[in-house]
Amino acid sequence: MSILTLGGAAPFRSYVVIGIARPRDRRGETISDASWRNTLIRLAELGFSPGRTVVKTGSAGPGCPVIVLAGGSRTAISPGLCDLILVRPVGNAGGAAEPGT
Amino acid sequence: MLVALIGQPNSGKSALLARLTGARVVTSNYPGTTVEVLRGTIRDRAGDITVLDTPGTYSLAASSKEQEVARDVIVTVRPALIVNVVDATNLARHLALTLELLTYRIPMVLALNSCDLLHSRGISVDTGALSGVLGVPVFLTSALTGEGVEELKGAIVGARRGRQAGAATGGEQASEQVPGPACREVSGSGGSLRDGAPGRPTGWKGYWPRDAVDLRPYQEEAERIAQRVVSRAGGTVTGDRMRRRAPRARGPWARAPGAGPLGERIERLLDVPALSIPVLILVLVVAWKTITKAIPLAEAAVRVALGPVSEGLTGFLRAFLPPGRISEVLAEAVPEGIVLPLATVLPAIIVAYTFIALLEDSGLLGRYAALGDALTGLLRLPGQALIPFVLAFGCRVPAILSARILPSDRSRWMTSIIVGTVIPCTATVSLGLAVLARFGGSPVAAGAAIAVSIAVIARLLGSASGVVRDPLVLELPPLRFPIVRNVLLKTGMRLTGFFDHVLPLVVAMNVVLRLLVSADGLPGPGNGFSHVSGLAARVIEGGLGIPPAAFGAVLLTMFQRYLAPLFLLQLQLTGRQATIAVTMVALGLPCLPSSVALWREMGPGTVVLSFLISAAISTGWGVILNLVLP
Ligand SMILES: Nc1nc2c(ncn2[C@@H]2O[C@H](COP(=O)(O)OP(=O)(O)OP(=O)(O)O)[C@@H](O)[C@H]2O)c(=O)[nH]1
Ligand SMILES: [Mg+2]
Repeated sequence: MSILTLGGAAPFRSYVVIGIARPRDRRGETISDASWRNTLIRLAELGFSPGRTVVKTGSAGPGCPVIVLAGGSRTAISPGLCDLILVRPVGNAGGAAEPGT
Repeated sequence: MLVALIGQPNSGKSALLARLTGARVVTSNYPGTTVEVLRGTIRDRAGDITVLDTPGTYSLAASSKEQEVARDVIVTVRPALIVNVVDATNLARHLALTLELLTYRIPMVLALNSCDLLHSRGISVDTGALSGVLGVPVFLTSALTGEGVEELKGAIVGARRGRQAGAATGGEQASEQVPGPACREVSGSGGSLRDGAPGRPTGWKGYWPRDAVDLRPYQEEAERIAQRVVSRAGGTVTGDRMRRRAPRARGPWARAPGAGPLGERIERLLDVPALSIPVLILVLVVAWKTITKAIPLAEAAVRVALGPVSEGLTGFLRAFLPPGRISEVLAEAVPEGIVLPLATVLPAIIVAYTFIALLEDSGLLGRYAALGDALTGLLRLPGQALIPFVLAFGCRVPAILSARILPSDRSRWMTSIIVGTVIPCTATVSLGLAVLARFGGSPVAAGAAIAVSIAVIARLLGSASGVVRDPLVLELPPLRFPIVRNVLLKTGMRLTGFFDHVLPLVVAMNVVLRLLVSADGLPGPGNGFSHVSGLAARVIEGGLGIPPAAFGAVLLTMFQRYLAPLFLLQLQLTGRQATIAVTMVALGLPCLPSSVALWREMGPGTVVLSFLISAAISTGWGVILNLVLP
C-alpha cells in the first residue's frame, strides 16, 4: 500500500484522503489554533476528509497552489498544505469505498 | 415575516434576492461576494415580507467570519422560512448544506437556481422525486432569466398566509402550505471520526484531529440523492472527456462543476501557468492602456459636452443670486465642483469599476486570487487577500468588509490595515494624477512610494503577528464569459455612490474652499492660510518641502480622500511640491467612511493603529521625498 502526500500525487488520478498533519514553520511556530480549525473545516466542507476521493488536475507552477477536484468543486490549495494532506491511490487496500459512484 | 435566503457560496442568493424584491445588491462570480446580511422586501396585500440575503456558507460549522454571519441567521435569528438556494448544476455538493439545514426544523423551500444552465447542458432534475426525498417543496429558478421566480415568490407569500392562518388554528395549516422538513436521520458510510476514520491505516503518523467536524454523512447522502434525481442526456461530454484523461476519476466530482464544455476547456488551459500568467498580464495591460488612453479622451469629451452647461449654470446663478462676493464665488465654484469630478473622477472610476466587474463576473478574480497566493505569500497572507486588495481600488469600505472571507483574525487584521492605509482608491488616484498633471509632478515617484509602502507595512505586520500564514483553501468559481447585463448593473450600482456622495460633497467642499481662499487672498506658499505660521509653518516647509496649506490637504483626507486633491488644485505648487503632497495624500490618514468600517470590523484599536501607521508613512514619505527629489 503506497501512501503519499497530495503534493506528490500524480495528476488526473483518484486518491483517497487519509489524514492531515499540522504544519510547523522553520522557527517551530505553529499556525494559530483558530486558523487551523477554520482550515480543517474548510477542507472538510470542500470534500477533503478521510475516506473521500480527490483528483489533482494541475498546478499553477512551482510554489503555486495545486488545483484539485473534490466534493463536486474545483479547489485551489497552497502547496505547503498539499504536502500535509496524506492520500493513497484509489483501489489500494484499507480504504473506504468510493462514495457516490 | 422574516424569510432567509441560505445557501452555499456562489449559488445565486443575491441574484435571487434582486429578482424577488428588486433590491439592489452586488452579485459576483466568486465565493464570498456577500459578507453581511442584506435585506429586501416582498410587497403583498396582506403586508410586507422581509427577505434576508446571507453570506454563502458551505456548512453551519462556520469557518470564516462571513460564514458565522450566515450561521447566526439560522441559529439566533431563526427565520420563519428558509429559502435554500442550491446550484442546480451541482446538486451533489449543494444538497449537503440542505441536509444540515433540515436538522434545524425550520420550514424550508428549495430553490434549484441556475436552471437555465440545466437545459444547455442536457441535465434534468426530477424535482418531484427530490421534493419527496427531502420533504420540502422544490422550485426550479433562474435568477438570470427570471424563470420560476414568480412561483417561488408565490410559495413565500403562501407560507406567510399559511402561518397567519396557522397561528389562529394552532399551526396545522402552516405545515400544509410549506411542509415542515422531514425529520430525517442522516447517516453515511463515513461514520464518526471519533471512532477512527475509515481508510486510516493504523500505525501511520498522519492524523485527522479528533474534534474535527465530520460533514461526510451529509456529503455522502447528498451525493446519493443527486444520483437518484439527476439524469444526463446521453452522459455529459465533459464527464466523458474527463474520464478519458483520468481513467480513474469517477463519481459526481469527475467534471468541473458549474462550467460548460467550453468554459471547462478554457479552465483547464488556465490551470497551466505558462498560459494563465500571460492572460493575467494581458488583462492588466489592457486595463492600464484603457485607463491611460481613454481617460484623457473621456475627460476632453466631458469638458466639451459640459462646457455650455457649466456656462449656463454660471449665468443662471449670476442672474438669480443677489450681487456680492458670495454669489460670485458660488457662480464659479458650483459649476467647477460639478465639472471637475465628472471630467476627472468619473471616467477613471467607470473604467476601474468595469474592469473589476469583468474580473468578478468572468471568475478570473477568484482564479487570480489563487494564482496570487505565491505573491501574497511574500506579505504572509493567503491568496484570498487579493480580493479585498482589488476591491479597494474601487473603494476601501466594501474592501474592508470583504476581508471577512479570510480564514483567521490575523489575516483579516493585516488585510484590513493594508487596505485601510496604503491602497489608494481610484477616485484618489485619478484626482492625484490630475494634480500631478497640472503642476508637472512625478506619478512614478508617487507610485513607487505606494508600492514600497504596501510591501513594508505587510512585512512589518506579518512579523509582528509572528505565526505562519494561513494556508490557501479556495473554491474556484467556474470560468465564463461575463454577462453584459451583470457588468453594467454592478458598475451602475457602484457608480450611484459617486452621484449620491462624491458629487454633492465635492460641490459643497469646492464652495467652502473657494470662500476660504477668497477670504484669505490668493493661496500659495506663504500667503495661503496665513494663520498657519511661526514654528508649525517652518517645520512643515523645512521638513516636508510643501506649503502649510498643502499639509492641510493631507489632514483633509481624514474626511474624504478626494477632497484633498481638490484642495491641492486650488493652490499654486511646483512639480516637486505636488509630488510630495500627492504622495502624502495617497498614503494619508484613512478617510472617515473607511475608519468607521475599520472600527466596526476590527475595533477601535485597529483604527488607532491605522492612524498611527498612516501618519508615520505619510510623513515619512514627505521627509524622504523632500530629501531625494531634485
Ligand atoms: N446562469 C445563471 N447564473 C446565475 C444565476 N443566478 C446567479 N447567477 C450568477 O452566479 C454568480 C453568483 O451569484 P450571486 O448572486 O452573487 O451568488 P451568491 O449566492 O449571492 O454568492 P455569495 O454571496 O458569494 O454567497 C453571479 O455571477 C451570478 O450572475 C442563474 O440563475 N443563472
Ligand atoms: Mg451573495
